[in-house]
Amino acid sequence: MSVPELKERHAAATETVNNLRERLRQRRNELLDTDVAGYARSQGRSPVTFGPTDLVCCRILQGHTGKVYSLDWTPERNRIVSASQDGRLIVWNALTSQKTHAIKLPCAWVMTCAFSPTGQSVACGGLDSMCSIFNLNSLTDRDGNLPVSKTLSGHKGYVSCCQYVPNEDIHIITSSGDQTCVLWDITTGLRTSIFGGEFQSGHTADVLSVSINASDSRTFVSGSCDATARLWDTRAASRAVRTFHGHEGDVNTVKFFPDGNRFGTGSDDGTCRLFDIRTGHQLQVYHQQHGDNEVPHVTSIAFSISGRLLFAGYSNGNCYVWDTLLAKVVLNLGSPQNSHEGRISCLGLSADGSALCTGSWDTNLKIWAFGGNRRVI
Amino acid sequence: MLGTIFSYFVSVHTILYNDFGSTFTLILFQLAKVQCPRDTHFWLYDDGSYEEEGQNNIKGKIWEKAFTRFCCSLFSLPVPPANPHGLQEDPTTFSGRSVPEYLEQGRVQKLLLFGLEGSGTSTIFKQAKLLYGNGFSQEELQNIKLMIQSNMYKYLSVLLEGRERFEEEALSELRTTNFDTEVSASDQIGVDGNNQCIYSINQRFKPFSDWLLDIMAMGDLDAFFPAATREYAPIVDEIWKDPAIQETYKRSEELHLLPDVAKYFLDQAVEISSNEYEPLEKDILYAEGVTQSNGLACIEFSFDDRSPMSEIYNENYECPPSLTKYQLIRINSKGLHDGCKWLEMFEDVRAVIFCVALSDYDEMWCRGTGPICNKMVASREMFESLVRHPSFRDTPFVLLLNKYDAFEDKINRVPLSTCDWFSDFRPVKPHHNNHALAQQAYYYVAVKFKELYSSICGRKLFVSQTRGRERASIDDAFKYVREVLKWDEEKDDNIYEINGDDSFYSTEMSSSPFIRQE
Repeated sequence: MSVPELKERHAAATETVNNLRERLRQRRNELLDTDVAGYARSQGRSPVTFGPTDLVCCRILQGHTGKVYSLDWTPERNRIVSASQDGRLIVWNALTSQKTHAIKLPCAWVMTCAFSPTGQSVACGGLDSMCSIFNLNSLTDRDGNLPVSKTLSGHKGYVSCCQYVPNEDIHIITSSGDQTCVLWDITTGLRTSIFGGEFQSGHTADVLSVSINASDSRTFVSGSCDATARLWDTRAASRAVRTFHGHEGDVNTVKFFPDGNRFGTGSDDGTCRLFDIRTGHQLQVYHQQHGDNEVPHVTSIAFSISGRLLFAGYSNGNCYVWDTLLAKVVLNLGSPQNSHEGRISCLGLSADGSALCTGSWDTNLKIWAFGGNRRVI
Repeated sequence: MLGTIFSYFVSVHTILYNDFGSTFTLILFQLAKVQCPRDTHFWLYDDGSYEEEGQNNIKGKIWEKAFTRFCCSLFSLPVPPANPHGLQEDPTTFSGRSVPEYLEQGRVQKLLLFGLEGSGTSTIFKQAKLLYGNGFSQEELQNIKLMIQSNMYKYLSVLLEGRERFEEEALSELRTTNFDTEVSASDQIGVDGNNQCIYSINQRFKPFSDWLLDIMAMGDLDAFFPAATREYAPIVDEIWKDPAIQETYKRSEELHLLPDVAKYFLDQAVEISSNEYEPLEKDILYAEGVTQSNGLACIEFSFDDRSPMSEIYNENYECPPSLTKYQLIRINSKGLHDGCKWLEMFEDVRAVIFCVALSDYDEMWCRGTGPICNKMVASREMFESLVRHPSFRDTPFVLLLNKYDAFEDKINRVPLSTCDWFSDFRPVKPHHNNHALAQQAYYYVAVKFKELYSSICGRKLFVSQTRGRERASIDDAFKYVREVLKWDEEKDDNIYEINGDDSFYSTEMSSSPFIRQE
């Protein structure tokens, strides 16, 4: 077949695909007769009541001299690792506010950090296109710096997010500006699987975040600048299990819902959305009207332990606590007395769900705990 | 007259400054009849109070006397601010530029080096590393070697793909002419009965060619190379020398993905593929990219801080001036697109050095799956998006118009107006030689960029020309960048107007406004 003929067939095939996509979208819209909030209201549910004393800032972790870009909790023992523009990772003890490690990074432009499931190692990645692993128990070198124990290189773009596969220290998943996600074997430093890429059905723009399903660690979801989130199965890397459309801007953050059947996303379009992985439906949009001027971007999200609350950090310094069932904001942690003085870039919930940590461009991290009689939900 | 006062005073005294430049502070002191014994250092605060360094007692206020205030306004020297204590710097506004942090002693000045693919940023970076850094370590050399090897296969695959395309076109053309006119096979030039043409490759290369193109298409090239380099070395050399490939190479202008260094490396295919190959300096500079992952690369260095201006000040200094530390950061522009998030991380850079390859004016560029456009226009668009980016609102830009040597060669063969943006270029005729036309064209291009820059942010763009492969040229460019930074520091106190001409780099340092012409 000649080249012009191939081009014609390609154009025709693309058009068929687009038509099918449009038909699917319409069909889906017909099936979506309600959303979560609508259904909950029809069942007579009322929003969670939250007062300002129910979630209080109990610690401020100061020490970074640059914007905090990312943070992660350990699965137990309440330690936090945070990454900052000053080129350092700091490991904090969340209960005492003490810094246990301050790791100077080979490349100061770091975008993400993660704690390993056993709490022995931390990983970070950034503009150097590599993911560096540090073993917290290793001896510091002559300059007092913790040496890099492994470097995972192979990405052709910046590493935007990384997460260890739960229950083992050996595998890590990274997302990158080269439009792929990669599953790495840390012991060999090699790529086990590549999700997406130039000629495979993956994201068509920078991938900004990943979240691994805690209930089934073979599935994970990724969010990208192409305004979609994609669900992947690590056993079949060649194509995504499902693509979720709906957002109108870069998807900055994705997080699995505690039960593993749904996930939330946050985007530059100012909304958070809840998607169901089994049906592929968009279950709910979490959106607050602001006025005509700039819509604040959602930079990071986390679910409470039951999933009833969704914490969302925004680029204007706000941190809304949403009632996921009724799609109402029940608390704004960004109110004047408490707030960070800059954009909230990252947040995360501790393993037992009793504390939320937020990191901001004002170089501080704040830990919020459920106060008074409020039980953890 | 001011010049005379300046040179007289400066040789005798030194004053440390925080907000105002030391020149006129000196004049201020003299006017206020403050005793300035030799070798004393004074601190002047913005409400006019001054004290001797280290003494911590305010000696008086400069602007107390009416005479001083009068002279200040006469000579355009700093006058007391209306609100002497100023607004308390709001600690909550975290902006990298609100406080001139770059004036802090010992702070590293970050320089961001950026440009479209092929504009020469990696060459400039590597030259800087050789000039001011510690050269390349063994590990870095090893990485560059691997990069050169695997790039060689990339070039080969571009040629093989181009060959297939040209063969297809040539054959289909011949088929149609065959169809139209019943001409016998023997009259066909370069075609025999077996459906061959000048682009038809020796059949024994077919399997390798198909395989290489397959792995390129699947994005698996780095799974095989550079690991398999030695294995395939002989075949690479033979294919490169095959007449079909050489014919394809003649049309290299149509192969947009083939860089001009391809021939340089393919000619040395056998040497490059051997285990003992050690890249020469020239190979390092010609190689595309700095590291295999093409992630961020940075080096720190200090200049010998000797510029004509600082020499005047430092004449009577006992101790040498502290060396300013610079950090040159080079990022691959491949990841840049609208709404790019990581650019914000460079909010605190002291200057952005943007590179444009002058020789791009007639070349085409395709960004990923988008439409093909003129490469110079693509450069301009990238430049524009950087200038408009909120993170660089107050950052000075230095434009390096690179590949001047290639530009000089090309300008007489291909008119500048090939690029739409330059359609109103009217060179003064007659031009006697390449140099004159190239110079005119260079000034024209520089003015176009300056006008664009000024229309966006109202400031002056500093422009210089470079030849990336000549080390002296890069050294000059960095010296120029340093001058620009000094001018930028003092621009708020600028009693000597910097006019347009001085924002051009000229080889005579005496054209700097801070040195009087005798």
